[in-house]
Amino acid sequence: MGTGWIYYAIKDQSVSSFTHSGSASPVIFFVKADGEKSKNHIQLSYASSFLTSSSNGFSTNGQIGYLQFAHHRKFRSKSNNILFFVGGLFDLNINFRQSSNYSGVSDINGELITSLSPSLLVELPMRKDLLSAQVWSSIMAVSFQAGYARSLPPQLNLLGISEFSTINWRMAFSKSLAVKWNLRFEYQFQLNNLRKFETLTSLSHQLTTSVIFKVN
Amino acid sequence: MRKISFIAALLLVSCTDFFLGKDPTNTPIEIFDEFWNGVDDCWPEFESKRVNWDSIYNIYRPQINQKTSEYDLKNVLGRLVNILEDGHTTIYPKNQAKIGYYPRYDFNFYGLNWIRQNYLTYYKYNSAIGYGLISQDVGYIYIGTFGNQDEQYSIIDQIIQDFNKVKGIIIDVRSNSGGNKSPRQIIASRFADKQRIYAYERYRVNKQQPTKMSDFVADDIEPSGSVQFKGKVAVLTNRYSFSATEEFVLSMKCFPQIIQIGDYTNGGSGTSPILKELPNGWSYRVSTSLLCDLNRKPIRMGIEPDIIVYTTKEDSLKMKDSIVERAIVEVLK
Repeated sequence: MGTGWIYYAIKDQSVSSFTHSGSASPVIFFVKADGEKSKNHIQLSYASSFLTSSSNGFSTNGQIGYLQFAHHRKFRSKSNNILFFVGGLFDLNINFRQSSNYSGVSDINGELITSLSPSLLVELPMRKDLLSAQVWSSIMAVSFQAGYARSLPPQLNLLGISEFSTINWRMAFSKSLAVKWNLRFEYQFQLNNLRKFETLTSLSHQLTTSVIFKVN
Repeated sequence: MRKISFIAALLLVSCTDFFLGKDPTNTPIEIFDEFWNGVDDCWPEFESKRVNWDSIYNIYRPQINQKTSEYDLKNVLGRLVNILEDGHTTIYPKNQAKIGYYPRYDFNFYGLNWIRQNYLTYYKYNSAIGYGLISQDVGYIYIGTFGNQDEQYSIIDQIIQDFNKVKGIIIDVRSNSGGNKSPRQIIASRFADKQRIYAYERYRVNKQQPTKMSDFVADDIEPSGSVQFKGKVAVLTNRYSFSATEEFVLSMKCFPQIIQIGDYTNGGSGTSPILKELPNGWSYRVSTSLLCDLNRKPIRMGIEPDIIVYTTKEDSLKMKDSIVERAIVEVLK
């Protein structure tokens, strides 16, 4: 598990032409199950962030929940210095935003997006330590969100690439502390662009430090 | 360290602008355009109120330039708000009175204290509801707002138990300017005989076609709570019964034992407003849903009472409320 710093920015055109941004300390839990030829990664994170815009027309409290399940298989490589893995992953983003103005008028918005993405993982073993880089981008997604009019009850929408796209990039460095303990430094960039009804774009930069306990 | 922080912040902002696009700037023209576009994107009444929003732009936009003062900008935006005649589309200037649509009507209501002093044999209340007996046969409930916490409205179960011997109940929502969905549902569900549709709503389906609307979406109400009142009920309204109160009136009127007495309601056919913001730090709300009655007609003229009654000077001099007097007669029929 770990924690760190996240910068989060969102522009939800159905509510505002302004970018709302802020930073927060996320809490992260993850489980890694590495075999000889395959790797599984489950990650759960949560952050609550106070978001503001340049207009200061209203302030927003954003709740950001994220769940990821990734499975990678080793790709044949002649070199043992660099290991390549290809696989797929399932992302679940839950965003919930409560906005209020200075007159006490408030409004609630949010959406739930699950996406399926092919992924490429590259690992560079360094004695007991490990440097890794991963990129993925969704090919299909399902959103649970209000319709064009925000006041409509949420509905399920199947989204193609033209309606939902992501760019994700993760770099991590794992430092061996002891036989069963590792320290992991990670940077993750996430850009989501949802174009169902109105355009909603969000991006985040996340820097985290985690402690990993090896079971086996 | 400061330099590094500054460069990091600069990189973050430029990266954010690159992917998310630049924000509107704080000029009178962009403020006007932002409001006009915000309404154009989702307001549901262009067709039903015959508002040509493009023409409005052509008339009022030339009145704004980069040197327009805040006072003049407020006046122009105020004219736009008044053209919409929608009590839910409102601008909130910072630290100033909000810009809204406030037509003047006769009150037809002397206030709860007046009712209490002249009609009620006992009186209990919380911050949302006051109630008491007018006689052994008639109970009276005043709901001042639907904007409080749900727990405040659960008192309705206690009230119905207290009123177990009455023949009829008067529910007074005059001058109740609305609130939230859940409180009005809690109250109405205690008078429901079975699940019934009480209203329909329509929504915009895209921003390109301002008059293209969704199909009618039915709103229904069903019995809930530990006790139900099945006797006669009169719901009293005036022109200041607005917003969630009008939805409450519709949800009560769909039951056969309930009648509406008094004046028309306000006519808040544009409803479910969302909160948006303007470049100068003001915020505004715009309706996103068109509320229609069971005949699928927008309630823009107000909900018509089953029995129209206005308060009269003659009655008031006798310390009587003409609408309450008529309601007493009706619930005892």
